[in-house]
Amino acid sequence: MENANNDPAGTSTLKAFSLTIPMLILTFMMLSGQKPAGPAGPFALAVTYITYNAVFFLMIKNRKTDRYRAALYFVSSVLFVISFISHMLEARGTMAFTEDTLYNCQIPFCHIVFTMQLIPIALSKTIFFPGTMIGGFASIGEMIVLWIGFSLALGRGWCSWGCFFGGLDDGFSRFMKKAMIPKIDGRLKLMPYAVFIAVALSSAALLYPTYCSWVCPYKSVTEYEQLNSVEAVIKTIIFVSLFAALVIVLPLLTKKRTQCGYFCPFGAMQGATNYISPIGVVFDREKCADCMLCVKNCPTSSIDAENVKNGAAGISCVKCGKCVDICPRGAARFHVKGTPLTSNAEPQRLLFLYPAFLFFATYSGGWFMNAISKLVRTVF
Amino acid sequence: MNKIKSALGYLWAVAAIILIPVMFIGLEKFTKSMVEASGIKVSTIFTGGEVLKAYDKNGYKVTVQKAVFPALVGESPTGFTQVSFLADKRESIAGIDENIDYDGDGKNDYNVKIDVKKPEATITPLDESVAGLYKLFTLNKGWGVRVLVKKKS
Repeated sequence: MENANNDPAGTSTLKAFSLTIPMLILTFMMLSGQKPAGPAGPFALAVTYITYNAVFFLMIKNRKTDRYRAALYFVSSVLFVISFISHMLEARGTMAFTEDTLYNCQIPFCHIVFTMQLIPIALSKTIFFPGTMIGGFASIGEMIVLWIGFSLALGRGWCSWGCFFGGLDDGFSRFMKKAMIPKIDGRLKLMPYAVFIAVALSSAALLYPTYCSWVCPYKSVTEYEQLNSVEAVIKTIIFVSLFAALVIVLPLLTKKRTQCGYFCPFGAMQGATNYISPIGVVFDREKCADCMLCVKNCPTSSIDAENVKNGAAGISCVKCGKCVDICPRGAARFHVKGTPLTSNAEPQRLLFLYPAFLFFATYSGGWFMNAISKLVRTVF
Repeated sequence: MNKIKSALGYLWAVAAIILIPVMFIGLEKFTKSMVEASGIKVSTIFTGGEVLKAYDKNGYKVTVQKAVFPALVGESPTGFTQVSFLADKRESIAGIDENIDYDGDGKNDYNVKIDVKKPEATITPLDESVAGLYKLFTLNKGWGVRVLVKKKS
């Protein structure tokens, strides 16, 4: 049987273009305001605008979500690293943060830090992080608003459409044709919850963000402490080792997003928001042939045989759409909660795709343009 | 019942489409409102606390911050007070030797000496609430120290 979600004929070009028009308008509104300064700015805006909308058009035309999302997500994460590092070099002259940065509370805030602030916020409305609430580069307040808005709309879709780091291990998990380590012990799926509890409690006890200070793999590609003490050297060795293992090597060997699915404390916490978001991934039992392709291919191991039997992806589902793309019978689909499974799957996929893609384009478009602009300036 | 559930599901999904652009367009305003309404703030362990006074002396600006006693809940019995010395360039500060009144009662509470060449700071308590040096740190345009203090009864 053909994949009902992914009719090989796809959507007609005219219809796909018509459905892309709202995205063309909205992304123009959102991206034009973020155009980088300088002569390369208009070029960067044009490249970004065309790239994102071409990808969205292909998602509609070919009725595939993950195939195009993953490619753009990887590129966007690489460009995030380029944009972030170049910003740090311009602002500080080094990727290392100095005591001045720390004591003036100028460390950019990242969503992963939320996991360490839940207890302090609940108990004393205090954030134990050297950032700014309003203004400056990546303020805490802006990140809180974006996170709340996104979580209400898309739940843990953050990890496939919002997180600026997620594209890296997502990308590396797709480079090999076959997994050299095809099976991962199911118990390891509990690891992110253990990390979450450990960093939430230790940060509350020690009054500083322990995950950021000691084990965040992404410190390797963003910013790090100045290497002027033994402690700083040990931390850097940990950051680089974890980055190499969880973001590059293990995703290559397992074809899984090992950092996101097996370590990230934010992912563990964000899973709970899947309960409140309106759209999830389900399996139509009447169409399902129990081939378990979705189980084998889920990049975060969020689907097991039990989930398939119960008709819904696990709570850790990142809504990347891979299972929806590959299901040969169209049993895996995006589904608006409360609606019958007999409803047409494609309009419901679009209801997910519009907010998810618009967030992705608006949020990542800024650094995408910025990195292109800087690369153009460097080359020419 | 099923129709109501279905209608609510679609309503929530459509609301999500509207929510995303509205959130970005009003991001600055929403952020300000959220920060004001929630009262969430960055811990004084990082900010160093409220500025008590700032004045110019010996070619640099002295900024004295009130003592803070950061804790997860309430206040810790011991805390610190921060003072910074800023000039146009850090190199233009040859050395620091200042008496500091950190609580604004008109009496000096400690003396701070910074040997910028080593670099090393020495704290001489002039009040029993002062416990000693917590940390000396470099700033782009000067120097800063955190001094350990005990709560005054």
